[in-house]
Amino acid sequence: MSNKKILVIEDDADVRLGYHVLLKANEYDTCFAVDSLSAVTEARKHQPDLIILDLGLPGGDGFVVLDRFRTHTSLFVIPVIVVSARDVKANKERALKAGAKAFVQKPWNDDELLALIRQLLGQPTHVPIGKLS
Amino acid sequence: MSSTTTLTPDVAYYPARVLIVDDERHNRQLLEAMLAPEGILTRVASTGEEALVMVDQQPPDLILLDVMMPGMDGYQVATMLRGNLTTTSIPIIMVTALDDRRARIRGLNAGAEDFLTKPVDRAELCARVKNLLRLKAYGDHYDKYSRTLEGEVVSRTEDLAQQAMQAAVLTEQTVELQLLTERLSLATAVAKVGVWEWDLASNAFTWDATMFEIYGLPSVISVPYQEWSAAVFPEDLPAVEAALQKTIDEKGQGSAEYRIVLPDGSIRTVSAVERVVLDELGGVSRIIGVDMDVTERKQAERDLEQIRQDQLQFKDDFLSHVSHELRSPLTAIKQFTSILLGGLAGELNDEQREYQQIVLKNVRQLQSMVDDLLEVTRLETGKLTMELESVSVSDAVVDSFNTLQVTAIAKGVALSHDMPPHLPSAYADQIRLRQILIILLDNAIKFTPDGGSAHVKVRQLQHDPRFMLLEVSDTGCGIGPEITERIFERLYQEPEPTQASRKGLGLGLYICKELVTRQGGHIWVKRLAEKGSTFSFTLPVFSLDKSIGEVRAPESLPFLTMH
Repeated sequence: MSNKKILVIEDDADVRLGYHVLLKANEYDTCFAVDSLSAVTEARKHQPDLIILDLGLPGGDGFVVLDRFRTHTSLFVIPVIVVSARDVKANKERALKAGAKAFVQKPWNDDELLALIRQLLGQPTHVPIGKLS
Repeated sequence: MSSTTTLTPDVAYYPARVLIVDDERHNRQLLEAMLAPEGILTRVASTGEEALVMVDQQPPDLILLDVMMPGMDGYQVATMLRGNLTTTSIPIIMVTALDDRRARIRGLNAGAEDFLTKPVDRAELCARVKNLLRLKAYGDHYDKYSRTLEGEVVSRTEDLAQQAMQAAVLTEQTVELQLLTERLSLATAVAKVGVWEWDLASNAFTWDATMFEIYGLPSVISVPYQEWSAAVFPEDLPAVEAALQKTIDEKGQGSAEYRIVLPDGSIRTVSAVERVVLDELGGVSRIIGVDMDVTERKQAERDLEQIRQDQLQFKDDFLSHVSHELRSPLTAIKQFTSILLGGLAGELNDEQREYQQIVLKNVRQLQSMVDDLLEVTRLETGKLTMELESVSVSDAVVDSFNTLQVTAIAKGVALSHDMPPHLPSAYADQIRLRQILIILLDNAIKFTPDGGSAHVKVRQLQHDPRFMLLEVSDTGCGIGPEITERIFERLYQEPEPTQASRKGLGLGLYICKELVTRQGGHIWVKRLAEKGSTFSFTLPVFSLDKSIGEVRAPESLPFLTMH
């Protein structure tokens, strides 16, 4: 059984690495896009099982990317978790309306994020390997 | 012949008094006898000196004066009499035995009116005496008349003088008035204040030069009401007229601000103040007032407001941007701390684990500070939105307990709550209520040492069932008595912060106060003398009419006092 693949769209290199380490330790494969332009290309290339999208992308609103995913024939089925440093109240509803499945605020709680991922991928819940003390 | 003869209709010939002066008794008697039948009263003097004394005592109407006398002679007496103002007009007839031309001239020069030669002829004596008496009577009469005239002249002169003085005073006052009027005109012109007067009877205005300037109209004697009201911006006219009417009705004063349209089409703003002028019957006959062109001022006010708004916007954008930027590095720090602690980069020894946990704890604190910062911005710039609805308080309390469970256990503080079973819902914002509870509980835990406890009690107010009371108390170190109300201020921290209280921006209680107030409640603190503190706040109880009406904080809750 191959691992589920998660596409992370995030511009900060350190944060990308952090995702990689966490997700790998939890038996997910990862692929990345660094901006809104390459987001759709990478998505089409890798056809991930889940997408984690940072709203605060440079050179284009994360919402634009979200919109592109939704209108794309092969992409709109992929569940998207939207991550943002910005104000929850202002953006959560908008993101969900735009097709995102969940909204997480930076910095997030690892346990919660992993639980969310499992839920969206239809995976059974279990204690993650990387545990927070 | 009567003793009183009227010489003319105006002049009476009173019983005349004649003084006979002669050193010889025989002569004196003779003259007396001659005059007696004429009804003339006579007195006699035997010397010149005696004569003068007698004249002084009682001035006669005529003197018969003998020339040759021992001591003072007639000439000397005459001269003396003539030299005295009071006696100079008494006619003198000199009587002398000498009948030469030189004597007569000398006598006349001395001041005698006439001469009689001895022996004196009775008829001649009487004739000359009566003549002179008559002349004297005229003289006296006209003297009196002229004195009266003089008196009148003096009096008239005084009157004229007084009038002249009054005229002078009036002129002075006129000049002063002129000066004051000039100054007023200058002042009002400089300040661009126009002065007007409205005569209600004729329903027309009298305007000064500045008024015409302000309205851009040509100067005329009288401005009909319609002409002014036509210049007022149509939308503003009803309010202005209502204000004027009110001033009239109240017989008082009023003010108004309105726009006017100038002939060239430009719109200016005018600020007016007016006052009634009462007539003698106490009715309103006139209104006087001033109009001031405040267009520039209003523009300046608008500009200032715009700047203020811009600044607020900038502040909001700035803080929002800052907090957003701060969150990104926080994310990375937290991520990798989690990774290390999770052993995903290899097992940690105890020391490494401990240090990583310190890092994580501080990251959380930093995170919460950033959250607070953003929250305060929202509160200040009015961007805060509240969704008021029926909220279950017990759920909120339980949720906040769940959130803080870990922190409480780590600190060794026991959490408990006391909520009656049939507690009504609160009319509040779900998220905000949780936020308030978490801030208060977090503080309680922070300030309570190991082994202490924090307790939440909720009940409906007995005194006022429209509200419910929530109390968060702890067994911590309490707060100083002098601090009380001030702790709800922004950035306020204890004067001597303990280890626990030093962390944080000092915004938590300020946020609580704002959130509570905006939901229609009050918040306060009670200190339980070294045994801890209790933070209490009220919230409105949900009722159907509340959800449609406005939420307002109650005017006063009598039992609320600070300890």
